[in-house]
Amino acid sequence: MKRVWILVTIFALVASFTVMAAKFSIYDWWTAGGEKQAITAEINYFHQLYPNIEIAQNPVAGGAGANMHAVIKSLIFAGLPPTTFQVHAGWEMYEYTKAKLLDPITDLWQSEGWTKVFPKEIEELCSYDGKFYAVPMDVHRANMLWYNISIFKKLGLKVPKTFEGLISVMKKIKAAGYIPLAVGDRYQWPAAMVFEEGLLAIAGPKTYDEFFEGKVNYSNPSVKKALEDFRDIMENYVNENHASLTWDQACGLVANGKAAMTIMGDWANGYFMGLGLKANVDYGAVAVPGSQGVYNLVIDAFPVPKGLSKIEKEYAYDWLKTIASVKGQAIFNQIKGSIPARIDVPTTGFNTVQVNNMKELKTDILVSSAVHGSEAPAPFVTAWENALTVVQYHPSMSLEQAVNYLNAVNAQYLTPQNLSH
Amino acid sequence: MNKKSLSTLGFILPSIVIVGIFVYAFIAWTVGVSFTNWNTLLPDWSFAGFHNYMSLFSNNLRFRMDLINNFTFLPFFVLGTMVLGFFLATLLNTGVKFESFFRTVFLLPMSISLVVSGTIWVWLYDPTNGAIDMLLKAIKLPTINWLGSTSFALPAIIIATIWQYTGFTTSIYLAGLRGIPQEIIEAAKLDGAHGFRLYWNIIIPMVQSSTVTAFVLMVQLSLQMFDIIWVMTSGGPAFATDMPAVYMFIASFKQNFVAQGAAIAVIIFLLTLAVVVPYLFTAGKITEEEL
Repeated sequence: MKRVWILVTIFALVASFTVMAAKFSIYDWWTAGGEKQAITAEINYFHQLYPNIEIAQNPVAGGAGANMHAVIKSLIFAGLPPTTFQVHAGWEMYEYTKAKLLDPITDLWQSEGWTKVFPKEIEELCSYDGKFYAVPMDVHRANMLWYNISIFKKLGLKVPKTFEGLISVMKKIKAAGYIPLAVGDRYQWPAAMVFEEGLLAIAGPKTYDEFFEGKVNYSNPSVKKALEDFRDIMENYVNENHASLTWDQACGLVANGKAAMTIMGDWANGYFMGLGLKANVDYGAVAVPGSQGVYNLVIDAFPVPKGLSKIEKEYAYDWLKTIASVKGQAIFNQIKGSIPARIDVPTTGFNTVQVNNMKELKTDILVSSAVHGSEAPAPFVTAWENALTVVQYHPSMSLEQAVNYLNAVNAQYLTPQNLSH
Repeated sequence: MNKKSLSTLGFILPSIVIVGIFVYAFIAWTVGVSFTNWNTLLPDWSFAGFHNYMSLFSNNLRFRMDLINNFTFLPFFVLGTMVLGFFLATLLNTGVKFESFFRTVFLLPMSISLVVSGTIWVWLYDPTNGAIDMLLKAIKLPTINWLGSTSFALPAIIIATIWQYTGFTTSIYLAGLRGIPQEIIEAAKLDGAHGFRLYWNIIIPMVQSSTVTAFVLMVQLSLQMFDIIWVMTSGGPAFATDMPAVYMFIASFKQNFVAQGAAIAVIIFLLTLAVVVPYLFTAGKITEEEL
């Protein structure tokens, strides 16, 4: 009798482990207003389609995945990969594919016919060495300027067309007693975005790409100008408490009428919508002045890590099919503020900012964001962002000194060896 | 080996095994990794000699600033927590009314997670809406952009960490003060020792073991300071509050410089050892003397 009980216990233990293992566990960094609602809606939709799959959602706070990737890497090293996780297509994903930590999903791309519905550039960012490794859930645009319409009306200002014009508008706003540009760089990346989008606007997409390929550095006149403007903006035109705030708190300053503008990706759109504000009524959005006609891509994608069991892999595929479907892309992006990566999703249910971006995605020159890990490798991005804070917080450093210091950082990290993939 | 020592061994063996694996084996592993070329996501076990250490000390602005910051932070933090802790413990020891209430109040910050207290301090230090600057404004003093300035961010963090850990030193000193026999104090008073002299000649020497314990713990804590810095400034602005432990995390997990991160970990470990090992010897001596 005793032996039977021991057997039953062992069986129950083994069974419970199998049940525990067969869970759909997903990691993301969507915790701020707007983005949290969007992922919840998508997960609810997934649950409707597959009611029997048990879902464990693990959000790790810290925008731009600052903290989540540390968690994912330690899980993968420990041999406990999650079923799937959020990753930016491009370099951030190459880091995992280079280390052979992801399973190729070319079969899924082909059987679902996805090669026909996603733009070529996005396809490339999701593939590595001729194989597909991830499915895009959305397309974000990094080079966007958000402004408070009532402040602009009150001061009789027009949205500028050039970066030069943007700075002169900032001067007027400052004179009127408002914060010209809200920034929340407690985690450094939002300040780095001010430089990145300025670089794109001033130097143009070609030099922008060359800069991150290590072919051009800060000695280039237009890059130097972008650096000068970045230091000028951060010293004179941003909120005093920028180092204490996060990106969404900075957007909050625009929403409550304390600040006139902010430079942020279109996840800000989701944040404003989440507050119940209306696009083109309460807040306006344009491409960062000077970068019209260029779409700076940030693509949230989901891969399939190596080492999953058969059933987990099935769950991962179910999730990928859900997020790549027309309905799945519509549900998520309408709330998130971004636009679908599929080009065949109808525009109904999207706000004016999104409809405009959906149109421009088809016609604009596409580049990708370095701050968000698509354009350049992670070791560089971290060092580059940190180096920018050094020149930002030391106004006594001359422009020449800043250029020399930053050039040395670029030369150290943007080597052909580091850039091969 | 007799039966008694066998059973003793049986009791301590599990913890020896666990500590052996999860502490000492991993220390050895980290030391091993720090001598490899593992500076990508994927392990690379080829031998690199002292390269990871040399690169930290030769031309690494960030690591140099980390050491400067850490050794600026250390004396303020250690002295601050110890002096305040001794002062509060002395007050508590005078037999104040509602002593247990005050003891709880002083100890409470200790029980809050560093992430929570870090977030609260970020709010307090906010230059536009924070309580501290509002207070400064109210009494017509110039406000300070605490976390947004390279000169005030480190003092701001020192204040926050002293607030968090003073309760800890208070309780160490309180235990020490309670351990002083009342007769000695009475005798000293009869001999004419009062006020400062009583403290300087009798009480402070009598709580020496508390002082050593508090000192070692506080030094060790300040060499490993991470959580509260990560939450409040994540090492910024412009490395003004960056410390080796923060850099270790960034290097290992954001930049995938695993071997370099391991080298930083080993340096932190050696610095800590330099404080803890002498303590282990003196602690042993003190107990023997007391016995």
